[in-house]
Amino acid sequence: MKNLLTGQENTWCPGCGHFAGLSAIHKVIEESDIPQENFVLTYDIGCSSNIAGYTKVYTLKTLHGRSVIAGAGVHLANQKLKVISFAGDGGTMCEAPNHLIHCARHNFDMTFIMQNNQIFGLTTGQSTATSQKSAKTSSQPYGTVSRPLNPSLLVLTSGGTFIARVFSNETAKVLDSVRRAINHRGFSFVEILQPCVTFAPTAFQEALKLKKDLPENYNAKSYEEAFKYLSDKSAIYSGIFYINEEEKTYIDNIYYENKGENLLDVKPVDISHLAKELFY
Amino acid sequence: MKRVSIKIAGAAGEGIKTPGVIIAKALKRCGYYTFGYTEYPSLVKGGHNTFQVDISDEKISSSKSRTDILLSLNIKSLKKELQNVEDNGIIFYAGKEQDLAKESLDNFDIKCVDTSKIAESAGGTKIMQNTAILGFLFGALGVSLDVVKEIFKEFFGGNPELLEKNIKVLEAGNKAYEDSGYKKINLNFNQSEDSKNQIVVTGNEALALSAIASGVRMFSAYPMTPATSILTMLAKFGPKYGMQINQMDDEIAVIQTCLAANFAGTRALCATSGGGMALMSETLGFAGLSETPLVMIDASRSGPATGIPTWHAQDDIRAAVGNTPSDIPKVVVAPGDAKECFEDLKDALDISEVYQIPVILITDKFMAETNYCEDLDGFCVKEINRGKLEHGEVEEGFKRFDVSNNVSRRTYPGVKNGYFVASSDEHDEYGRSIDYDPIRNKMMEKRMGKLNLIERELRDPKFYGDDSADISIISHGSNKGPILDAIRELRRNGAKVNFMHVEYVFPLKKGPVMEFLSNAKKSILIEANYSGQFGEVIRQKTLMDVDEKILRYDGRPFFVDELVKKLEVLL
Repeated sequence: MKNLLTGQENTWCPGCGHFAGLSAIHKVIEESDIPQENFVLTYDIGCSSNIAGYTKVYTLKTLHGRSVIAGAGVHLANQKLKVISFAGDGGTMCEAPNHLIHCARHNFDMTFIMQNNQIFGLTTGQSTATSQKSAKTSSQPYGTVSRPLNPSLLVLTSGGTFIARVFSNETAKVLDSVRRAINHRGFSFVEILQPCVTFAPTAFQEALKLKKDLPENYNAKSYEEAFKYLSDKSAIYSGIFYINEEEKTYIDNIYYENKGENLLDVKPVDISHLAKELFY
Repeated sequence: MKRVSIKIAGAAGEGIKTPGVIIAKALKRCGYYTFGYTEYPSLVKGGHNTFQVDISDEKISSSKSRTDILLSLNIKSLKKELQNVEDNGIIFYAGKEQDLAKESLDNFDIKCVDTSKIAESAGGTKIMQNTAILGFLFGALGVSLDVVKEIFKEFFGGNPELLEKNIKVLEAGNKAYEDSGYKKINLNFNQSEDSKNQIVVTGNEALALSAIASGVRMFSAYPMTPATSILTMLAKFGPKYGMQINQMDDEIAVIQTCLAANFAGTRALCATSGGGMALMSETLGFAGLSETPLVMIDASRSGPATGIPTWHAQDDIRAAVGNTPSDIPKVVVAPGDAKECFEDLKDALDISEVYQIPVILITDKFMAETNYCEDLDGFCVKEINRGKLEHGEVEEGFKRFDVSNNVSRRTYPGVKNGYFVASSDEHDEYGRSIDYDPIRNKMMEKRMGKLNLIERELRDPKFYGDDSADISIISHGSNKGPILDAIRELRRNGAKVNFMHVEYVFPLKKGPVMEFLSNAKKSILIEANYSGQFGEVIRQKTLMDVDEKILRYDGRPFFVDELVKKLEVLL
């Protein structure tokens, strides 16, 4: 049995939506056959990431917006590791959606769990790029001016190969999505819609009103179906939208010698032959 | 000592750089010392590109500003370059007599070579006119075509048809010279055996070789002049040596993946120019705080902002030394030639791992794209030092950031019990974020204390010239080459001159620099930027000012003849 607790204090508000992702990831790491030291969690800045160090695994707590690209770097160095990146909607969709787009495009074999509460919580309640238009926040008190981005749809159209969107109060579904995301080969994305109980409690309540389950006969292998259900503005569907197991990963596609090994063997290399061949 | 400069000029797309490198390699193989310098605008077709090869009977490490032999591939380039030709210089124009008349250039002594006709009648295409003029030049210089053909084989070896055509055009160009009745150009140089054991290599190429040799397993980059050729060379050859090359989608992705890969236990490297470094500066701070090794190459160019992208400057010294908010330990090293690029990158990678700090290796456009002649023997890495990197398993309760030592043991994912948080937050000994806590001071002191250790360990600046001198030059980076050539000339003329070449710009070795400046009758700072940025670093560390500054910020490097004149005024 893995002991995942470090004894670090949890500083989230009681009832915080972030607990959904945390308990799912603990469960998944505990039940996994993969050794504890081969898991890497990456975080950035914000409430979503104030949990860095709570879980006893190798952890990279990087700069705002950079969690997923830092996770990509860890994965590129050593494919034996299970890399799971966490971040919120602020860092991901405001500061650096470019990283998300390209990580999906490259199909890095890693998991990104984006916890979307539609607000900057740690800085006490400013609009993010997923806040609803007209939502009143401390930075846009007369109503959020612009329309929100749709993260899961963005990942789908950017080339992500596993896309789930779930609500934080659907405990079993969150766990199932995270578990399957981590076992997916390729870039897997789980968007957890969740409340910020302190600074945006109503945004989540409004979202819940639009919540619908995907239909029984839904085909997650179909890009077109995923596109249709993720684009639907009349409802917020919850479930696993897309699984593409055919697409090769970045590491499958790239060429370098001894690719099967990780990049940990660092030693001097004799380049005299190359120098002579090119520059004599 | 003799020096002759040969310049090939033409439009982008006409092929200037390849013939330039072929001239440098061919003359080197004939036993001359060569030095190749290129200028080009930021465009793909058209404009005015040049490649100048200086040749000598002694090792040289600079260009002169004047041209002895000009090869111009078009009339526009000819008109631009005429003013740079020495009074008794020789001019070959790849075109017809009537072009000269049209441009009222008939009063100049310009030898026309109808290269398009030569190329086409030898079965080549018009674009091979650069090959035709090479054949003509080597005829005039009396260089055996066998040497040139060998080099052609190396360049075009993968494409036998192209090789055969180019060789035919080369021979036709050579025959056109024989038929022309023009006088031979007698270089009248001593040929040396030494130069035959040398390679013709740019700063960027030396860095790419060093990256492979020093065990770099991942290279991430986003293209930016003048750093791009590190990427393109490593992209081609790195994978054959097991190096993973990642063209990331912006500079922040580049440096984040490098930092994360180093966190994961490998050796990663990235390269950019000033604008890219500005974007990367936040992550450099993160590397300093999280004590993650990280080496960045900054090939600086003429700024600020986009500046003049394909031109030379040493504009990034201040930014490299001080671009991160708060205080982090770091090293900034500015190698002086291609060989030092190779050595200093190897050392930068070791220093970065041994002290767990970011290191910026700073070069410039001149160094990055200039073809130096260097001894092949120097291009060898025997061992590398990864510092306190733990493998396999460590004890339970492992403290990654143990404050009892400035440099603590480092683990990476996969090492049993070695868990830690590499955090951008201030943290405790396990890496966990802290708030107001006395450990903050201990962590800051742990990290910043590394600078004293490093300053003690770093190599001293290099000293050249007379012990007692009338003028004492202090400089860094690629200025080394032009300065060494200039002081050799001055000293031959009887002047007493010395020179301190500082590779480690930060942390500056206070002792030797203060001693040098204290002993100087007249100290002179030489730099390619507006404000004398390295002078500020010296002033900050030593509270000493230099007496004179020779600064240049027009986009060109220091040419030896111009530098000699400027220094003579100060003697």
